[in-house]
Amino acid sequence: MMPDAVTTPILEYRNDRQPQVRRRQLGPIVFVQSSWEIEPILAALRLQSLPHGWDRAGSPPPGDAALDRTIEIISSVAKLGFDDITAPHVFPVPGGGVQLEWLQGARRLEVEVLPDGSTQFVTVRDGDPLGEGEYPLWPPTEAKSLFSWLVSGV
Amino acid sequence: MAEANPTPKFKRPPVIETLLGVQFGPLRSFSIPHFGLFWSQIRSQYPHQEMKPPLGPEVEDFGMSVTPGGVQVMLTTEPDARCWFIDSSQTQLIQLQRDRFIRNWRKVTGEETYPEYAVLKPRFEQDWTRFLHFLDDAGIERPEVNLCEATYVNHIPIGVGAETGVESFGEIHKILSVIAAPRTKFLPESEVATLNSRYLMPDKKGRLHVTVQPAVRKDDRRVVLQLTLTARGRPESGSTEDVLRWFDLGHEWIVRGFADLTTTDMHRLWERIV
Repeated sequence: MMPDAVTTPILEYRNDRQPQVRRRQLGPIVFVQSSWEIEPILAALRLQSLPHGWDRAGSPPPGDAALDRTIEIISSVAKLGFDDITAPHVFPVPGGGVQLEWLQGARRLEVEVLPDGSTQFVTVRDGDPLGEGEYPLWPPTEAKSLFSWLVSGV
Repeated sequence: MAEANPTPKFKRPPVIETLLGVQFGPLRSFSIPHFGLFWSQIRSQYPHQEMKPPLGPEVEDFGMSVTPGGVQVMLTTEPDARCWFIDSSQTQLIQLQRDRFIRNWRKVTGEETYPEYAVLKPRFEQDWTRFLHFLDDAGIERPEVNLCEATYVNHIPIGVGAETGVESFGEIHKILSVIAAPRTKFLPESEVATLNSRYLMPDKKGRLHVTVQPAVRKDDRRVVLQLTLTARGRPESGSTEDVLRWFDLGHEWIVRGFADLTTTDMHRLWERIV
């Protein structure tokens, strides 16, 4: 919903699938809080254009569930309020998923979004895996602790 | 005779969506089946429908404070819903709920031309009148309109190669006349810029809300500045004539506000003709 609008411009309610519409539709849109969000969001959206079998093993390009969740994660990280976070690298994952990778010095945070939109993370320091689990989309404090760890190593 | 201070007009305005709507006290006798009954009367013109969660009530306060944002909790004793009735082009739609009647126009492919307010207002009038007749026939009380709203959503492309020539959010002074070009030698170009402002109409007839927010459009991967102008206020009465008169005022504030807020360079791009 628009922060100020009374009746909510409808662009923001176009997250649902509309199978009866076959033409390209404008929207929905993703509001950005920080300029660093733009490139990874665009990079994630570009993954839609990958050909089927892009990995020579028959993988499809990431679908809507994986891309929507990827963008949701990027946007939610921007809202955490860290000034020193850089844009994540965005990679396709065989099987139709997406990987986000934040690098800060010797520390690395990898978030993998699976084709169904579920998420996993791995923390790595000096090349050694430290921890892993389900990426916490909620509450924001849990994701914040991951990124606090990431930036504290710089 | 030429109008002394004509309302600005653009040949290619960046508007991608408009809304004309009214809010009224919840219709007590209007229930879920009435959505379907009303749809059956307009289905030839609006063949598609979608159900949405209802919008919360709005108040435009003219005291010291303005409408607070945040979470709203509604207590209701019966299921509530909002229904969209969409035309075959997908560009025109009605949003209906127990206390709202809204009519939208939107771009779908991006190639559509803005149909102009002179076309949209009579379409609202036609659909609103049809809804009132439906209520009369169904024995449902007439709505008591307490708020009118007009909203225009504009998308202004930004980025390398954008037709605006604005390459980054740090250059939005080239789009918005209310933001001055940076004159400092110390600060770098701003990373991102957003704007929220409100303007009171004379005699407390309403308020114009302006929001500017950077965004990425998903389907065509365009980076845009979304400039939204929303005029809200209470009409003299709930009569259709007064509602339409208020829309004229709201529309005028939106168009004059848009012209005031944007630069002459952008007016050239959008081919201002008045």
